[in-house]
Amino acid sequence: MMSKHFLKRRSLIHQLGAAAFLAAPVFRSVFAEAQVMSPRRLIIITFPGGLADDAKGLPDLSFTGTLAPLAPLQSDIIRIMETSRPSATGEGHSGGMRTLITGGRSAPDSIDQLVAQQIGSATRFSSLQLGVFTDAGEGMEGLFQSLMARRIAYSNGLPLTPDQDPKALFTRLFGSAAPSPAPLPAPTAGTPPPADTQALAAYQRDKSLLDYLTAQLGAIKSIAGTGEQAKLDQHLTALREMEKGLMSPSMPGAPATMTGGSGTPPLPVMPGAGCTPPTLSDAADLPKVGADMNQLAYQAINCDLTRVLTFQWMSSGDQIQRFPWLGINSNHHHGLEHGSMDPDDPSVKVDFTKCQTWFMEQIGVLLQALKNTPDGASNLLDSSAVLVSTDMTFGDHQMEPHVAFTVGKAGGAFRPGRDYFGDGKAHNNLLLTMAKAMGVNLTSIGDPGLSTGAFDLS
Amino acid sequence: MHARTLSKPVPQVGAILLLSLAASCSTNLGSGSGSRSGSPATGVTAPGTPSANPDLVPGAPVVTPPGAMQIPVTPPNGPARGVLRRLTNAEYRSTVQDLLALGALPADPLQLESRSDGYNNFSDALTVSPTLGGQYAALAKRVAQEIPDPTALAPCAPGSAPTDCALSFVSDFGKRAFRRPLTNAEAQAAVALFDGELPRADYAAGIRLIVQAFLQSPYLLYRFELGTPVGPTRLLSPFEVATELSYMLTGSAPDAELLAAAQADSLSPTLVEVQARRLLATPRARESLLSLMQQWLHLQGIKSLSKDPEVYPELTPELWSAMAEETTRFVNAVVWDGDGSLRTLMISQDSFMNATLAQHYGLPVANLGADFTPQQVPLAERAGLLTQASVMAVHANPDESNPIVRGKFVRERLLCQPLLPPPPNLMIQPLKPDPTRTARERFLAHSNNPACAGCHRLIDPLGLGLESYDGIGRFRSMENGKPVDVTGNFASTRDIDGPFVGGVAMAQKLAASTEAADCFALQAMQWTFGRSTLGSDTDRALAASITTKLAPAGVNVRELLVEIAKSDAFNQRSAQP
Repeated sequence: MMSKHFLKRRSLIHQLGAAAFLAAPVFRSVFAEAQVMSPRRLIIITFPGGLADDAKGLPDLSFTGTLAPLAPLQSDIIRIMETSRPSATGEGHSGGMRTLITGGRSAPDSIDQLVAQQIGSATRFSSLQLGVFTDAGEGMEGLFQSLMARRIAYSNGLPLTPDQDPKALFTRLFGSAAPSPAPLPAPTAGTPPPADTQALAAYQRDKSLLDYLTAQLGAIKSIAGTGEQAKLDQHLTALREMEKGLMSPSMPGAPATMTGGSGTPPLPVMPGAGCTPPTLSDAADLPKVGADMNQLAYQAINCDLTRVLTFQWMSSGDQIQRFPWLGINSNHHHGLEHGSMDPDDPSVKVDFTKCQTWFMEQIGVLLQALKNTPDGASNLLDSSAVLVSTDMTFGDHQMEPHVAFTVGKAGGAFRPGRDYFGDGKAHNNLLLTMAKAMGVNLTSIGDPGLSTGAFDLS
Repeated sequence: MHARTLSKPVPQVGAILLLSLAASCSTNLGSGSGSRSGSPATGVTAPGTPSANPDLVPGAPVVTPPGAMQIPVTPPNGPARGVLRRLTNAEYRSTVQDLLALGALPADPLQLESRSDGYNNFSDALTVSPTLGGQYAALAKRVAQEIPDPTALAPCAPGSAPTDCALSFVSDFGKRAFRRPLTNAEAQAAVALFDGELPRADYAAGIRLIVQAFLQSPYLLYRFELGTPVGPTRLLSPFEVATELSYMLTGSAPDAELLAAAQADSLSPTLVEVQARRLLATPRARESLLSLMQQWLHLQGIKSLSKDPEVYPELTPELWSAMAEETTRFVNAVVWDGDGSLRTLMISQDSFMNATLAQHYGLPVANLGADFTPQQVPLAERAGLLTQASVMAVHANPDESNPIVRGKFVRERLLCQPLLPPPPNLMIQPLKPDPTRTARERFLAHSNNPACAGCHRLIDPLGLGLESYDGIGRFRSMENGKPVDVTGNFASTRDIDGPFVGGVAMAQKLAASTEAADCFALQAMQWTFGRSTLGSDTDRALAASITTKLAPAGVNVRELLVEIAKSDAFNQRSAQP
């Protein structure tokens, strides 16, 4: 059964001509895979500062509590219970995130990047990093709570800066909103001359420019020390992405909207919706930026622009951001995180729960939209391996038991609708599990000695 | 290659966890004690120089800060390694504007910088992400296309070969773009772009393409501080020094005179002083120094802050702006138009106010309007930067003051003693809001708890001394119907240990402290070098030598910047990669 992506692409390709199609590696891979099965996607979503505790003193993972907004997705979820996080012991708000995603204090690469290294070449973007207000508390963190450790993705020891500006991400994903000449694929020997010579000239110009810049970075790499190589590699990745962009047609179609009313989460309805650039709210406050990023994340998956996506909601320890749209004005998130642990004063815990529940609603919007979108014989959520987690268990820096759950069937690798008990094993194994679901078999990740093997979630 | 960095110990001076404190603080405290929400820190490091701290454990294991997966830029001893420093967004815009003599640049967005220890220019946090790379490309294309007449930029006499004209343009323009002369191969590569464009378009289009290429070239985007091997270190080239100096003092690329000095090899550490003084006299030096001061004091985002509107309904955007403006004008007046001394910055009563701010300060507003005029703050209430409403309001909760955040600010930003995160599994409990008690009464409970006191005695007594200033920096003598007690205490400092009463006395103590003066030098060095200096013995020694040299005449901020520019740390890099 052919996916709608394939059909969409096929009509595009038809317009461009078969020769053009064959010259574009992105389409070729889609073509080949679409005939076989839906591709799998890795999506990692984080929320800040853990959860409030339940009556037993455990993190409240009940579908009537903080996770209530996800109750409709209960049959798609596996709650991962009783795993440990030895690599995070002693970390605070910031280090919690880096150890969550890399499994260690010294690990140079996060799990999403290890997966993207293997499967990223199949799509326009090998991976995407989205963030919502992750830097709102910037400046106050101090030397040992650097943003360098707060990021959700790392490559070669360097954090990857998430996209936090919806407009900038829109441009990156869908090209400029302004009309531009139709990009053309690289001319290769034996291809007929393109009809549009102006577009060909633009392509050749852009290509020569990228070659020029790439050569310069190569020269710089040869004189810079080892400590600067990762930085230069990131820059080269940026150039390669632009080069891929020269060969990918921009997305057609009229803008679609899925925004709800002001201050309310967007409605998770788009069954059968096509791959179309979303309409952005053009607002700067957290709820609207979050809704915009949800739409962009959804379309990035729906349009098969990437199969590896991380999505970070805020950073914990934030001492700036308040939540006026929830009626919470007297505390920033850091205050809520710590205040939620006061047994004598439940009022802050109430606010914190309200806040974390709101994050779950937002996460639920994206998950539900994926579920509502047909993909091959099933839907986008079924073909995805989603990990939802947080940097710490409770806001007072407690790291265990680890709070995590998976969503989706990972194309059959996961059998959701139940709990999985990790018997105290390190969460590194959960990271291995996510990679394995993507067809990437790793024997270990993160700090040595913590990886004992992927969990069997099938 | 990365794993070894973690086993490498962080410098002793920067991050010694006090074992005895860690042990006591890791006790599960249960309910009814602990720190106020908003306090992230209970561990503390050793001060940078020997002090009489009985809690110090000699030879205690050192702790690696999070994020140090890369090879650290700053080793515990010796020069920092050579780096490529991506321009900040402000530096990039100024550079392009200067290069093309543009009045303004299109406002196309550039991805915000990641901050490290509060600064937006640390080299290890600034990379070219795919999004930023695309934004550079789009901006470069737009700027190149909007050049009104490329033939004016790159004239070509009739009869001349276009390629020769292009080469001439590349040599001249490229030298300013790369901040050094181009090699032959580099010039040819740029001309090849031009030559490739000619069959597709015309001469002007070829020149535009060269400009477009230069505006996103890594040689423009990165400040090179690599140097060449000379003996046991690497010496920065004159052009690298010119670039470092220019971005430090003007926030942009070297001007013609500075490039000429580099060309003439006249930028040895002694001769760099001449250029430093020249640049310090330009208006741009004011803007540069303000960026240091704002980032040092956590004021960079002040205009977009907000607080609980029910508790502070009077806190309007105009008031935030007025607070920020006071600090700006005060810094400018002291550093550029006044005696320039750090001491004056710390204790001066002279300030600037408009009606909005004077009202906030409880001063008479008659004769005041929207414009700022010189005013004096009350002698008993305020002194210098520390007690300005901007600094106090930023270091507070949304609905009240926060002594721990303020104490942490003084300890980390004014004394350069970085605090470690709390030890594992510490139950950190908030303090209940209580309308019948003052903050001091609430905080005293946990300061008196033996499990917490070891750490918090270093933080709380500093912040409690600033309780005269509420959550938006207003002066108060009563809180919740009780008099505010502002006795405070310095402990574990080099030279100002002991009690004090209130913010003014605290500022006076800090103004008299060589440790605080060294700290300002270290912060200025962080901002200048774009890297951490707090964990380096070499950097701390340099800071001390500069302040010692300047001390007889009073530590002058302008002279301090000159001394930094003359230092080995400015001019040399490690032979290590």
